[in-house]
Amino acid sequence: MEKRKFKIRHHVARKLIEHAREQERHVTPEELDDLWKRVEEQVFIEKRKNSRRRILYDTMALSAAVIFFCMFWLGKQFIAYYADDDSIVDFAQYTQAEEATNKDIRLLIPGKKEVEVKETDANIIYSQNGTVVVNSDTITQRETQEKEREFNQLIIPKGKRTRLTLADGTRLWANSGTRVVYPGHFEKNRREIYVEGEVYLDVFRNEDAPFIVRTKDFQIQVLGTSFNVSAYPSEGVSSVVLVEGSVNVKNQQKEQVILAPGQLVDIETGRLHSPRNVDVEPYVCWVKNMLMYVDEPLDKVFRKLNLYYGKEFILESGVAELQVSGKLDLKEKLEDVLHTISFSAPIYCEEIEGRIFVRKKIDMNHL
Amino acid sequence: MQYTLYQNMKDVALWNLVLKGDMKAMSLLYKKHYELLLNFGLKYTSDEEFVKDCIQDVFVKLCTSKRLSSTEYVRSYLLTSLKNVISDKLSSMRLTEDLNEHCFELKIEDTALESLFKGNDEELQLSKKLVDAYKSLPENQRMAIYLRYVKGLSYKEMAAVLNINPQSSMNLVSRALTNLRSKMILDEYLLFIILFFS
Repeated sequence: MEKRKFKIRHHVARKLIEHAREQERHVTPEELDDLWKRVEEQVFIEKRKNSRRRILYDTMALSAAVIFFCMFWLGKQFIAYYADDDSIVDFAQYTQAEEATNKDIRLLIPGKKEVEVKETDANIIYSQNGTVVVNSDTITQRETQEKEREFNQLIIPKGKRTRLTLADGTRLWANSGTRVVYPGHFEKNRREIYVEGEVYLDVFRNEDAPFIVRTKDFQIQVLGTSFNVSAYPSEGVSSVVLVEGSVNVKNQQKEQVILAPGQLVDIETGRLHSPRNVDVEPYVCWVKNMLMYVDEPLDKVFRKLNLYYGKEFILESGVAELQVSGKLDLKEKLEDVLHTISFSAPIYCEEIEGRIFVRKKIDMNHL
Repeated sequence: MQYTLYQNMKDVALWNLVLKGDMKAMSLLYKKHYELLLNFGLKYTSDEEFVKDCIQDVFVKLCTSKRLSSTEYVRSYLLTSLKNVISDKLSSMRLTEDLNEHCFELKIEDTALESLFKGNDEELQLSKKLVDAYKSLPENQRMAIYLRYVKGLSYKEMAAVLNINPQSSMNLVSRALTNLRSKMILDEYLLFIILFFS
């Protein structure tokens, strides 16, 4: 009985499993080949999609890299334009102590012997091939590997003047009692010099490298233009006069003005005044060794003469306030210049022990 | 020559070729296991085209994937992949419907039983009881019995499909059998079946 039951149940279970197996769907080899072809086609499409996506991703990554690089580069440019890298100012102020009461024009190039020029006028040319010519004498062959951060220094005492051509082609006239600090070789995207005293600049135009003139209290940024900077530490008021082009004058408080040609801005103890329109000639004619005055008090004139000729003037009472107008040719001897002044102002001069005393003429008609 | 060589290869060897990017090995695995996959998929839905699409998706993914892992149980790997694709597709297609719709089901119609055991009422009654008992088992036990007895997968392969360890898969089957036994008092026959088919 048990055996029979077992047999029947086994038979049923087996039949059920067989039935289940028979119910299973079969696929012919031909159908399988077709199905596999569909897979292959889809794989091909997917792979192409992926590679397109890859190209897209690669392009995106590349674009991102390019954008990043551009931003980095722009940032660098931005810093070059606007961030104040004070190394040249630091250098100028650090080396200030070196300044001796020398009577000669001195040119200091790092690693070279100091060059002294006895003449009243010096003409210094830095050429792009690395030579420095002083009054037609090649005095040094700069190493091409010279570091950009190595600053040259030009010191012009009272009574002397220098024409300096920088490596970028910018021409600079340095007036008496002036110190100019500049790199022997400019950076690609930034040209920067430091000035103490008075210079007239004819900046060689280079849109990629702004030219920046730093002084103790302010800086001037230009692209290519001609302008005069007067920044004597001994004078309370500095000024920038623009002849042509456009300049941006900025003080340490980041206040700034933009000058149009024919405009002058005074900088008094670091504060910018409003620009005013002027006749530029009197401000720049010193380049041509001229002095031009329109209703100028005599003490100012004699301060200039002190610079140009290196002579000390002692103004007696009543002289300083006298106003003069006219032109002085500074190529002439001092005696002749003084003579010219005495035509337009009631003064006379007397030299006593190297110092010149300026006295008021007694007007006979008023006695 | 090459082809016959391929055909004699075991699944694992073929899979290793697949891992190296061998499409021929992939096509062989595809053709070898297509019926298994199709029938397994049909236990979730009667829509044959849908299951075929799912199988296609599985293989397209395998062919385009760059990070295939090695496996000892290729059949299980394929079944698991198909199971995942089917449940993903079904749940995204029929969000509103009851999830139980997607359960593993081995359908055996009463009419089929009647023709199968025609003229033997005792056997017919027995088979109906057995089928009812089978249908009342939990899903994973039903799947285990199907894979084990209808498809002849090993315990290890079953374990891989059900994502349990091999010992658990043995326990699962014996639990399924115990359940059937308690429902059917059919222990000795199923025990026989186990011996018969293992």
